[in-house]
Amino acid sequence: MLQRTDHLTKRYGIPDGFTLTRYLADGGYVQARRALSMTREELVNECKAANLRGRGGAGFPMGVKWSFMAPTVAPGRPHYLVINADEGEPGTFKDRSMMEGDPHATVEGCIIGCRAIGAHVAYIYVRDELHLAKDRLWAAIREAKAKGFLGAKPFGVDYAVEVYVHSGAGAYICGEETSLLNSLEGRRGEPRLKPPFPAQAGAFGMPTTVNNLESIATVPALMRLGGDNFSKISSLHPKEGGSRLYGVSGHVNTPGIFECAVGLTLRELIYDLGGGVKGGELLAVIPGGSSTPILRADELVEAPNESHPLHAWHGMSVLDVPMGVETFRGLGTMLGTCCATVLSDKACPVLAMHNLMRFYRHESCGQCTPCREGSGWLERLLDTIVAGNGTMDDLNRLHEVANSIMGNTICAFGEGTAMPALGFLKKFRREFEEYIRTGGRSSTNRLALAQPAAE
Amino acid sequence: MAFQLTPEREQELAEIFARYPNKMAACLPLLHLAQEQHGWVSDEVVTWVAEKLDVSTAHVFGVATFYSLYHTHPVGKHHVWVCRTLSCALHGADDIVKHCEKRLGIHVGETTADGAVTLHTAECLASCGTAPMMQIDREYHENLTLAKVDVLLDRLRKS
Amino acid sequence: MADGTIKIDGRTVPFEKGDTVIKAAYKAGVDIPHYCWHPGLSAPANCRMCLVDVEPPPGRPKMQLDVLRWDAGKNDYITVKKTKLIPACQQACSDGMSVLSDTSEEVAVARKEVQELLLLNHPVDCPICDQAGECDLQDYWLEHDRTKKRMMDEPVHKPKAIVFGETIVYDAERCIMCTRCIRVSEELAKDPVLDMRQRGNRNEVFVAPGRELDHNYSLMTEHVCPVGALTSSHFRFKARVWFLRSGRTVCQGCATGCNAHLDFDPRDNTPYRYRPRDNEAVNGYWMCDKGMLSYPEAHEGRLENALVGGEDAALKEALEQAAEKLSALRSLRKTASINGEEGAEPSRIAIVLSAQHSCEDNFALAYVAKEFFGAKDLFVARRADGEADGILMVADRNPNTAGVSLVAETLGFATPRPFATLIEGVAQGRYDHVVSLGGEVDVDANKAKDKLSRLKAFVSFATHEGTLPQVAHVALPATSWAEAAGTYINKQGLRQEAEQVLAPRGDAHPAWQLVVALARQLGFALSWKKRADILALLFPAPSDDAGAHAVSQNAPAQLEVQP
Repeated sequence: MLQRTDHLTKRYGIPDGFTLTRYLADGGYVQARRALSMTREELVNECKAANLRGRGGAGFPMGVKWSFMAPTVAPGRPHYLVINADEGEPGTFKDRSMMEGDPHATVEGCIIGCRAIGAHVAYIYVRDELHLAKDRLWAAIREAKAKGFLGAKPFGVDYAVEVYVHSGAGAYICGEETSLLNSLEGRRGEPRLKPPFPAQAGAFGMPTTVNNLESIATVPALMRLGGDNFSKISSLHPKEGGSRLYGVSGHVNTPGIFECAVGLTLRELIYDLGGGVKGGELLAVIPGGSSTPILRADELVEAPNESHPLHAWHGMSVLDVPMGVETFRGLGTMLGTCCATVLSDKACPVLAMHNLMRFYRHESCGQCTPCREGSGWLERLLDTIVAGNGTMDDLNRLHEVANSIMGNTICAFGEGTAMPALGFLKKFRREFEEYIRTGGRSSTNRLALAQPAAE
Repeated sequence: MAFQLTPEREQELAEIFARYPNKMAACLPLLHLAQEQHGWVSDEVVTWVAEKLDVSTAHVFGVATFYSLYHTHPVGKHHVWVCRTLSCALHGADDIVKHCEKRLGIHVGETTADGAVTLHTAECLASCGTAPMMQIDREYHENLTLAKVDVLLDRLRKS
Repeated sequence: MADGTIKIDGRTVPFEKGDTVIKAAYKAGVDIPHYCWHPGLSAPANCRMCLVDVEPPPGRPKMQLDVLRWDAGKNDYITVKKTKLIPACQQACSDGMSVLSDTSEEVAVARKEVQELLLLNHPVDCPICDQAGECDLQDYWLEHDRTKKRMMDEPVHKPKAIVFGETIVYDAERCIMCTRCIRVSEELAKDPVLDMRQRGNRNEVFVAPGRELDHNYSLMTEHVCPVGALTSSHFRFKARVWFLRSGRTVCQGCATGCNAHLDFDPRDNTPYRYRPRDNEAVNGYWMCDKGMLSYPEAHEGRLENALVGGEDAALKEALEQAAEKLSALRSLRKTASINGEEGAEPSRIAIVLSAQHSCEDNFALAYVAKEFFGAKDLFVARRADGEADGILMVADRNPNTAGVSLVAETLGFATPRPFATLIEGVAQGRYDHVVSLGGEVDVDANKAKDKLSRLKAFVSFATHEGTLPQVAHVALPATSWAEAAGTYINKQGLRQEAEQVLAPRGDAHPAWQLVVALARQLGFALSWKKRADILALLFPAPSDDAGAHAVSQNAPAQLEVQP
C-alpha cells in the first residue's frame, strides 16, 4: 500500500537541510539527549517494539541484534558500534541520500545506538567514492561536538560518545560486515570466519554491533514516535515496522529515492513513484539490489496452499505483493535494500546477467575457492555466450557453476552471486536458449534504450 | 627517495591515530593521505606507511592492492571513473565509456600522453537513480549525456 | 586425554577441547581432504576442500539452500535443496556430534566441485613441475574428480618463476591461494614477509617490497605448499620424487634434533633433500633452513678412506698402523695392571669424544678408554656454537652434546672438558697420545694442527675431512649419521634414533665398529656384535621416549678385521 511519509526525508532537498541549525529546528538531538537518560534495556526494547528490520539487505531485526551485545561491558573489552555505509550493491543508492541530505540523523542515531549497546565509539564506514557524504558527516560530527552533543560528556551526561568516519577504498566486499571490520582494522577486506560473530569478537576483537546506515539514521525517528507507533506506520506491522527508503532506477521515467511506509508493492514503486516504465513494457525487476533474484513482470504468485504465507496473493501478479522480508522470501527472492532496478522489454536479460556476473567477478575478494574461481567461470561462460559463441553446454554449465558456489563459501557473497545467477537462468531460460541458437540475433543485444546523447 | 608528508598533512596524522585503539587501523587513512599527496602508492609510500603503523611492507602493499582506489602504478593527474554496472548500463554506460575512450584517445585503464587523465570503469557508485554517471576526482557527474561528457573532459584537459 | 567423542561416518573419534573436526580426525588417522588446513597453522577455511555434513542437533532442521537442476524431460529447471556444508577445519567438536564425510553424496559433490574449480585456471604443467608425484591437486583429482577439463578458455595468466629469495621460487599460476606459506612466515617464523596482493582471481602471493624471503624457515613455505607453486631452488629440476626413497633420521644441525626424512635416490646413493618428520614433542612439523640445507653433508666432504700420515691407505693397513702407534699404550697398560697400581702414564692419554657422533660411537670409545687404556681425561670435539633463532635452532650446533655427557657419566668419567683445554694440555706437554672421535672442533684450526702435530700418537675416527683427521697419524673413516643407525640425545634429554638411510661410502664403517676393530688389534677383545649390545649397557632400562622408534633393519655389515 502506497503511503508516502517524511519521518526520514523531511529535510531532503532543503538548501540547508544538512545543517545542525535546521536539524535542531526540527527537534533534532532531543532523542539522543533522552536516550542518554535511559537504560540499555529500555532502548533495546524500544527498538524491538519498532520492529525495525535491518535496512542493509538481510532484514535482521535491529533490536534483537542490539540485544546480542553483552549486558555489561567487561573490563578491557570496550563495545563498538560500526555503521555500514559502504553502499555498493548495484541498484542501491539510498544511504548516500541520507548522508548527504540529513547527516545529523545518522550522528544522532549513533549516539542512541552507542548507548543501547554500551559503546562509546561509533565508526561510520563510508565507501571512499562518496566524498560529499563523508564531508557532510564530518561536518555534522564537528557541529555536534562543538555543541557538546558528542565528546566526553554529551549533553552534560557522563557517557562519552565519539563518532568517526572511516573511509573505505573501493571494494564492494567491504559491505559484508566482517570484511568491513577487517577493512576498519587496516587489513585486506576479506571476510572473517563466523563464529565468532561480531557481537562476541568484532572490531579490534571486541564486542561490536554493525548496523546499516539507514537503520541507524532511522533510530531518532522511531524514538520520536515511540517504537510501537513507528511500527504501526507499516502495513506489515507487527512483522516489520516503520517507514523506509525505497529506490527505483533503470528503465523508469522518474527514478529516485522515496520514503514510504513499509509494505509498498513493486507496482506502486515502479508505476506510481517511478513514473512507469520507460521506452517499452516492463520485462522484469530486480527488487532490492543485484543480489536479489530477478522477478518477471508476467510472474504470478503460486500459493494455493492456505498455510502458505503468500496465499492471500495467490494468482496475483508478483508486482502486487507488499515488499517485506518474509513476503519476498516467499516469492523466492529477497527484499534486500528495497532499491529496485527495472528492465524494460528493450533490454536484453542475457546482457543484464553478464553485466552483473562481471561485477561479482570483479568484486570477489578471492579468499575462498568457489567464489574466486566460480565467479570468474560464470563471467567467462557469459563472455562466450554474449560473443555469440555459446552452446547449450555453456548454458547448462552456468547453473552448475552457480550451484557449486551456493552455500560453499566463507561469506554470503557466494550466495549473493549464485542466487541472482540462478534467478536469471530460471526466469529467462527461453531467452538464453534463443540467444545461443541465434548467436544473439534474437535479442535487442542492448541494455540501454538509446544513446545517452539522444535522451 | 624516502616519502615524507607535507607539514600540513603531517598535522593530520595525530588526529587520525587518535581515532583508533591501535595503529594498524590507520592503514587505509594513511594510504589515502599519502596517495593524495603523491598521486599513487609507490614502494616509498608503502615503506612510509609500514613504518608509521609498525607493520610489514607486505601487509601495506597487500592492503593497497586489494582496494580499487589505491593506485600502485603512476597515474594521471585526474581520474575519470565511468560507472558501468547495471543501472548505468541500462542508461548507456557502455556508450559513455566508448565515447570517453574515443575522446581521450586512450583505452580504459590508460592515461593520456600528457599525463592529464586516467580513464577507469567503476563498479556501481551508488548513483543509480541519476544514471548514467561518472566520477571525476572527487565529484559525481550524473544524468550524463555525451555532450555533457565532452564538456567535462574538455575542462579536464585544459586544467 | 579425550574430552569427548564425535562420529565421523559412524566411526567414533575422540577429541580434546578446542579441537576442530579435522584436527580430531587427523589425530585419529581419519583422512579428510584439505589444502589450506595444516596441523601446525591457523585455519583460514579458504580452500573449502574439507567441507563435511555436520548433522544438526536432534530436533533442529538441516540448513538447506535452493539450487537448480536441469530436467531434460520436463525441459525446465527444477529447484532442489542443497545441504549447507561446513568446513571440518572450522567446525569445533562437541560431544556426540555426528559428521558425514566420505559417506555423504553431497560432500562428494562439493569436493568434486572444489577440485574442479581449483584446476580451472591451473596450468596443469605436471611434467615440468617438481611437485608432481606428491601434489595434492593430482591426488585429489584422482580421488574426488576424475573428469576432464570443462573450461576451454585461456586460463588467467599470472607471474611465473618469481624469485622470492635464495631458496624459493614462486609460480602464481600454480598457486591455489591457500595462504599456508604466508601463515608459516607469520606464525612460525614470526616474520610477515609474505602476503596476498590483488583481489579475486587476480590474487597472488608476493614478498614484501624491499625484502626477500630470507627468514630461517623459508623452506617450510615450500614444504607446506600443497601444490607446485613454491619450489625450492635446491630441489628444483633435480629429481623426480617417485624415484626417491626416504629414511627416518634426525637432523644433525643443532641440539634440537629435529626429526627428519632424508630423501635419497637409491640408484646413486645420493641424498636430495630433507623433509621435517612430524614430532609434536621436538620439532612439531618444522625444520629450519640451516637444518634443511645440511643434507649434503651426508655425502659431501666425506672421509671415505683411511689416512696414514695424511695419505690414503687401506683400512686394514690403517688399523695396523693405528695399533702400532698406540702399542706403547698396550705395554703401559699391562705394566700398570701387573703392578696393581695406576701408573702415571695413562694420564698422558687424552680421549676425545664427539658431540657430533652417536651415543654408540662415543660409548665404544669411552669404554675402551676406560677399560683398556685406563684413560682419565675426556675431552669433547664439537662444532662451535652459532646463533639461536628462538624457534627451533639453538646455539649448540651439535646433535649429541647430551649424549656425550651421558656416556661420560655412565662410565664414571668427569664431564668431558673443552677441546681448547686439550690443546693447552698438549702445548704444555701433558699429553702425548690422543684418540679422537669427530672431525670438527671449536678452536682455531691452525693452532690446533700446530699443537696436535707434536703428539707421539694421534688416531682419529672421523666422518668428514677436517682438522683432526688431517693432522692425525692415522685417520679412520667413519660412516656419517645417514649411513649408519645411531642414537642421539637432544637438548631436552630425549633419546632419538636415526635410521641408516644411505649405503656407506668408500671404506666408511660405523665409528663404534672401528673402535672395536682397533681394540681387537690392540689385543682387547670386545663381544659387541651389534648396536644393541652397546645400547644395552648405556640404556639398561627400556626407553619409550618420544621420537624413539625401531632400529633400522638395514644395518651395515659387521666389520671383520682380524688382529
